[in-house]
Amino acid sequence: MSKVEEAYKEIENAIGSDYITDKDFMKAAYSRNVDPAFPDRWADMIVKPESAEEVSDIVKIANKYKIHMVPRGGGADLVGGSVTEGGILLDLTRMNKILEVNEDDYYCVVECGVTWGALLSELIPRGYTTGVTGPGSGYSATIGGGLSNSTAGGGSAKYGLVPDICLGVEVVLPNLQGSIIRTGAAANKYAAPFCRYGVAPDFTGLFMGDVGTLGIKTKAFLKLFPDPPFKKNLMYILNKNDFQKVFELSHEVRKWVNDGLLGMSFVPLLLIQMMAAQAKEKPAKRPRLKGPLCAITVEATDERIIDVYVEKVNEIMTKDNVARPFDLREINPTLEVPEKWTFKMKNLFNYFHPLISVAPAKVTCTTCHKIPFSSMEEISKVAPAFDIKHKDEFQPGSLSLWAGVIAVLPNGNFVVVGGFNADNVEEQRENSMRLWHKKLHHQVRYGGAHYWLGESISQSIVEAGAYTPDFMQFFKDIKRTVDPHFLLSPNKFHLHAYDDDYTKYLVKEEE
Amino acid sequence: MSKVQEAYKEIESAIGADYITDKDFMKAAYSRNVDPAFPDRWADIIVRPETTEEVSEIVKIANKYKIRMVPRGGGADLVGGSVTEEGILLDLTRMNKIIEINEEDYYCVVECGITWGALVSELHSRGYTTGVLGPGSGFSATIGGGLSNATAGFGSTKFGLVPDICLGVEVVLPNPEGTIIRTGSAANKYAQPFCRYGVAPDFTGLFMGDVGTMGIKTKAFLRLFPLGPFQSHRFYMLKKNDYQKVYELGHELRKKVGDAILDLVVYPLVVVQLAAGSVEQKFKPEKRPRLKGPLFSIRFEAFDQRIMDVYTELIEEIMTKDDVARPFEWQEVNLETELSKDWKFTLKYNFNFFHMAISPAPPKISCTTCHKIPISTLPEVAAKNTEFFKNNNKDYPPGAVDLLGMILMFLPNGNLVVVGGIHADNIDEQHEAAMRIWHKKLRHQVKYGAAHYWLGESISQSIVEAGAYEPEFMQFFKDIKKTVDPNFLLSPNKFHLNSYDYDYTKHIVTEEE
Repeated sequence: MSKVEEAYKEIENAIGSDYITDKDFMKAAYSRNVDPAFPDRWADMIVKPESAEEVSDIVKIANKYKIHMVPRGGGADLVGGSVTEGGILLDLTRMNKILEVNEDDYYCVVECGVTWGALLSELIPRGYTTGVTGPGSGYSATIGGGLSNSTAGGGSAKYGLVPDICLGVEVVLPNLQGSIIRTGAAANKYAAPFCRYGVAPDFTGLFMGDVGTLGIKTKAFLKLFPDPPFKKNLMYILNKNDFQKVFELSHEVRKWVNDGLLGMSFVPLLLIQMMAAQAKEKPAKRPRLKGPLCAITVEATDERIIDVYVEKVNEIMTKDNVARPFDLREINPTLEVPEKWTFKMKNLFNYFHPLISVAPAKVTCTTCHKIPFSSMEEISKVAPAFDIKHKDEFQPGSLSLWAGVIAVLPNGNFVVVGGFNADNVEEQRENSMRLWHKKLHHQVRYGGAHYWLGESISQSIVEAGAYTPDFMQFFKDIKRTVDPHFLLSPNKFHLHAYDDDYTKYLVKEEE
Repeated sequence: MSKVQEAYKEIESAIGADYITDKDFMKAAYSRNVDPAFPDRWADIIVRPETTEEVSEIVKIANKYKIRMVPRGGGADLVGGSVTEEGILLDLTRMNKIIEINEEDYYCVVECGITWGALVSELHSRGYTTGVLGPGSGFSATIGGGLSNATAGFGSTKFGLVPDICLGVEVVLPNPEGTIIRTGSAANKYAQPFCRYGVAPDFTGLFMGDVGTMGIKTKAFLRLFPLGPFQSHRFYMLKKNDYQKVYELGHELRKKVGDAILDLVVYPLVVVQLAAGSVEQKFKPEKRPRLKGPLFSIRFEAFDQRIMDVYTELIEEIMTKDDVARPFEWQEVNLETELSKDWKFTLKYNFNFFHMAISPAPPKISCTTCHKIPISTLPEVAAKNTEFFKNNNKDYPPGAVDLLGMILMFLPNGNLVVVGGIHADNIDEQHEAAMRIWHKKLRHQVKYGAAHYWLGESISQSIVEAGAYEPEFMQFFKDIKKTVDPNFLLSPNKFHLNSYDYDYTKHIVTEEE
């Protein structure tokens, strides 16, 4: 028997035969994410554990046979994060229970395989929310994936990124013992998981944004917020295509509407024009589109307060005629945005489909990254300049958006959601992958902070030489401490083995 | 030459002779913190580095000679955190520069030895704030100390703990190489330190609440918030001494007035009575005050006067509903105090706070037991505290006072910190008894599910003694510690982490009660 077959047998003994498979049919089903930029990757086996103890058993067996492992949540991933060539794919979606919703102490305990959609559908009717509502793919994306990718999402302007609402995790370390540890207040075995800091150093951090390299998260402890009953959507369009103004307006709104600002995002003019051109039903009057569109959502616990917020937003946005109120019906009479914001799964989680993601049938090279507020204007020049300079390297028919959406995050940073695409044909894939990495290097070097790093982005950060040698050594040392055989998600960050020389991946400045 | 003398020479040649000493006069000056519960501890060497590179040099030399190190900020510490018996004491207060205040991108970069007082004074004058204003001892306490202790402070009800405003750190690892790393977005050497998550796993966490065991923080990157131009302060007194009501009101305020409340602090009735009793005769009001229950102190902010008015009304409505509480003015017990309508925010309020309200007289032994609990457990915890005092009365030093808390401060999401402790007279025969009952009480709190934060030596050890950490967690903790500090030189007593093969289980205390 091969070591894979032996491992299969042992895992089967440990967790039963119902939720383990090595059949091609299932391998094919798990061979890709949303994005076909990567070749299909077939795991040796796919397991669907139901408990932290089962995960721990699998980890022990993987270590015994030195087989690599990749954890997978919803697979709603564009960066090669949750597939594996060979090895064990751990599909964690059976661990999808909401274990506790503690309204008294404003926290909840969930298994990491629960989707954002399922959790919020439970919380919102009770008058609670996680604040940040997870990635735009929360329809199938899991809590565990949100934490591993330190994702932004709905509500991030006010509540921050997903790790900001995390009070700790239960995690299985990829070591020989398959150690199960709990972080946050739960590091005290007598304590409820009610707060993050204290008890011990904040080990939670190690597993936030780790892209599944440092442990397999099995439970998450999350903050709950009372969901303020008053919410309003506002929309404006800038009167000039001026990104300095995008920064200035964001800065002002942050300053004067800070507490009430649930969401604020900009859609570049080009995209609005495209939407207008593609509208099946055209308005009677030709729309006047001159600059980026700005969508703002404010919230408050009292109607009088929300009225003041609306007034302030209006005042800031329309001062000196910088922007004017905008109604999507100006470009398409069927597009109605309700003034009052309400929780709708569809609104939150199908968001990616029309606006951001280029058709998934295509190769999508996503380049979402964060930048400081004040660098907006510069980036709005530098980013398109890259595309122009490298226009010959884009595939025929490829569409590149340096920004599809620009969303405001705390304290003063934007996430620039963008990417480019290509046709999903053999000869375009390799070229796209090369250009993608190049573009990521460029962004890293102008100071972008990427977050859902998966394989392609985490590797590009290393290639760009962003990490100092000391940092890289520290990272490897920590990795080795929890994963002595480098079995968990080995390709990410080019972390293959302790003595692998990462400098061979460095790519010199290419401009 | 002894290894200490050799190390001294080497450090002197690395950083110069001006800021290194082994003179008894200086050793004595650095031999204690605020709290005399611990014996005075004399370091072998006291160094005051000025740069990260100097810290790194010192760490390398300490590793070469296997000499232990303890970092020290303001020394405004009650838990044995920033002194060392022998070894090298690193006084970091020369690293006190504000390097950047980036108003455009709402963050700042500071050296970790700067005090909260100095930073917040500078920020407030420009209309910005760090949100949480650091510990009540921010007069001398440093940013580095606030991060190492994962401290709460004024503003915490709204902005969370000190680590919540941290976007990353520059830190010197205690390894033989004295490695300098930066976390947060600064892990990308091309990027500014403008956000915490992304770029790499959140290694910042390792150094939050680590009590100086994982690294020596030299720079911190912190969030800035616009300072709310309208601030108010209101007081309400409960009509019954009822902690179930304290919880319910705290929960309701979080729900209905969430965004506005900077800090929600509750003074137990006995504390208000004590405060009333200690008022100078000439400021005592004629009418004897009617004090019936805990006192709510609510400080809140808004960005518009109309919003302020709504919040004021909402708070009044919640607090006075069903006649549970009534508006209160400190003038009822002390004529010298201002009316809440005339209250103005000053930094004095934050940073001298400890002096009047919390800390028992510093010449006394104060055994602090600040810990966080879920808000719904408050009534139970209050009862347990009384019971513990009753059951262990004979073990307290004579005349020792033990209160549930001097204050209770609400934190996000739904937890509160019980700021309290025991004190005793600072005389030889009471030290040992005080230390013993202190650890016992801490273990008791750990076992009812408390989360302590400024852990220093006494609290971090008590958590281990209570058996709170699972063996697997403790192994993981040691493994991580060994990764950054292979010789176990940095702050070695804390958490009973003395060496890699040291058996901590011998410290576990099977109690008790």
